Amino acid sequence: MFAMNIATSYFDHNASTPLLVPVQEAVVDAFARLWCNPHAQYRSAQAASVAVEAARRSVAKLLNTPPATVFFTSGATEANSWVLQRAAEGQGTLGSAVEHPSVAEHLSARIPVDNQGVVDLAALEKLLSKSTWGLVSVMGANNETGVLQPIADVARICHYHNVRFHCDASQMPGRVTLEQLAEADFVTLSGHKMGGPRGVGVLVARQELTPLHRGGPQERGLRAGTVNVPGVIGIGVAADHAVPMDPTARDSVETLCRELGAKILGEGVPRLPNTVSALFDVPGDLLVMALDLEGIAASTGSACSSGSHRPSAVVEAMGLTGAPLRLSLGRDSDPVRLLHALPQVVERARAAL
Amino acid sequence: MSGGVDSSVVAALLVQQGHDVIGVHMKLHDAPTHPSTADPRMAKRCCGLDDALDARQVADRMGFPFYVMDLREAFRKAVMDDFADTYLRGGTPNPCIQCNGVLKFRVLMARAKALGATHLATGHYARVSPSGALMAAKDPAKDQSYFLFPVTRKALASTLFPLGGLTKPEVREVARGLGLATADKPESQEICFIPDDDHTRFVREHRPGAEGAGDIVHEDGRVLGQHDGFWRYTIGQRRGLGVAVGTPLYVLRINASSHEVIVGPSSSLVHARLKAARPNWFRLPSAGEELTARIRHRGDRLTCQVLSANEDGVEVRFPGGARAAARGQAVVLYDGDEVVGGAWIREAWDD
Repeated sequence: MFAMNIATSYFDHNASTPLLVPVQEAVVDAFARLWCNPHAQYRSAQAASVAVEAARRSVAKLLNTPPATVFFTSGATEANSWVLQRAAEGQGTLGSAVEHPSVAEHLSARIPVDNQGVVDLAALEKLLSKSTWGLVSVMGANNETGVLQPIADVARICHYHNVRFHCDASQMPGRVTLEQLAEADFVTLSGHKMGGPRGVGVLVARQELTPLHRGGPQERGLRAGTVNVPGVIGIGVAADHAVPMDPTARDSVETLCRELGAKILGEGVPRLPNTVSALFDVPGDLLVMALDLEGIAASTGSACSSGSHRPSAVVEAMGLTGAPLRLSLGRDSDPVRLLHALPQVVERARAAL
Repeated sequence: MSGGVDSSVVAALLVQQGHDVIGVHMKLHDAPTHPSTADPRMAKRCCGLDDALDARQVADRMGFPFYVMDLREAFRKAVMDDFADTYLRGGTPNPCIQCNGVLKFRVLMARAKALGATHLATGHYARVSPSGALMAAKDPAKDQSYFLFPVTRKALASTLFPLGGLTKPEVREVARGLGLATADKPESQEICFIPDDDHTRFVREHRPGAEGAGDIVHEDGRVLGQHDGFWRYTIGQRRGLGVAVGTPLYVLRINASSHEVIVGPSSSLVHARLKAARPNWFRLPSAGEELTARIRHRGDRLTCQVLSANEDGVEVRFPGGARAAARGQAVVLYDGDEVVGGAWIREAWDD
């Protein structure tokens, strides 16, 4: 059985995070004890229901939002799919050029970003003045580069034009503070990006929207389907433990990448404290494989699609080409082995190609 | 590791022999995401998502690292573009030779070295001779040395062909003995990136706007009919001409600029001499040297005499004549089972 020392081996936290220990404990307990349908009337079901509502309050507290605005889904992809398809009131949806595929899929038009990957606020202003839009969606932090978007400014501009604003905040909890999300009408969270379980996500809806999944009264009639009790309890505990991360470990990795001649994407703008996107003169996918052979897990950007490395829309939107190496750390990451292996891996690849 | 039985057996043999193996599946083209089980031809197409999963399963069972390398861009340029453009120049392309020469033994070889590998092993039925040259496989029915002629000595020095000394039935036997799920998987046939084998459609879609309609002309000058695109035809083709004169007609020549497809009797397909360019030599043969040659993958090796050979090309003479030599195909010369070298056919003519 392959056992990985997460701290020294795993540098792909933006793809998925290991469950926090308290989350693991809560989830295992829930699977064993709280398996009843929480919508039934008897005592054991009510225990599950109470736990679900406690989790809802935990998430609500993290986002400083009323619990009645918190809805549980099967993941961030479902939450994004829901809001993009049901909150635009029949009008077009406008999003940044660097959104996650689960948002990009539904956009009618894109707001350009500059070469650091930050949305062009003037362009947004112009797009909102020229036509009527039902929804604007701009992510809080980019999963590939870590670049932080000026969410408060985007919200302000949207509301000035009376357009609703959605923020996919999947990559933010456990890394940065979330007060910028205060003015967003809709917010997406992802369980497995914040030390919580996979298969559970959150849509915060401060404005009205119609259901995507119909056929049941759950989640106040807005999201049909028996609530995933262990998953929801898990994301609640993850929300309780979400605190910002220190950038020191990431900085040491970034310094090394720079010394090895890589271009750091978004280096001039605020970024997540855990992410380095480094464009080398060697294809990123080769570096990922070579690092794996040294027992180190990393990626080239979006993990979505097995075996398929389409050129990154994010990289292209920043006016660049190539496949960067993405190293995304966790709270406990210790990059000592990575710092040792990376120079050798890069040099050997350079010599061979 | 294509996911087929050959490369799966290679992996198993290497592990058995104590090598540190890294398995690589090359993603070369966009295969359908849901191959229709109703279409039996789809089962024979290589390198869709199921193939990668089959290969991954073998690697997982054998316990070695496995990666999918996305080489679609390189494949498109070296193989698919070359395929369409060769047809549009009036030739008959050989995409497998291109894939071997460029994708496998240059691009993949470099990537293998970048990962720290010392050798690249493939499931090709071929061997490396004691002198380091390319050599035919032990099983003449499976020999793939024709497709490997552009692989350099330098690349061969880092190459292993574990199947070169085995027959296909022996390989399947090994596969079954190892309990490999792929043991009875049907073999890939034909062109891996054209699911319906319709090369005419492929050329039209890959190079939209290509114009090729014209006349079918007998070698004696008579216009016999029309065709909708000269790339539909290949030298030596008999079926599908759409014209008849009472005796069998074969495609003799294709003129890409006039769009004429010249046809004639079988005897006109045979020529004594052949010129080829852009050679890869394992050793330079001397003028007058007698060797055997293949001008297509299938078929017997023909006795030939080297008239001249240098780094730019080769001219050979076939005492018994060579039938239907086509531009875009290769001529590969053998000294016994050892490959002397090969080059791309340019022209064939009579004494």
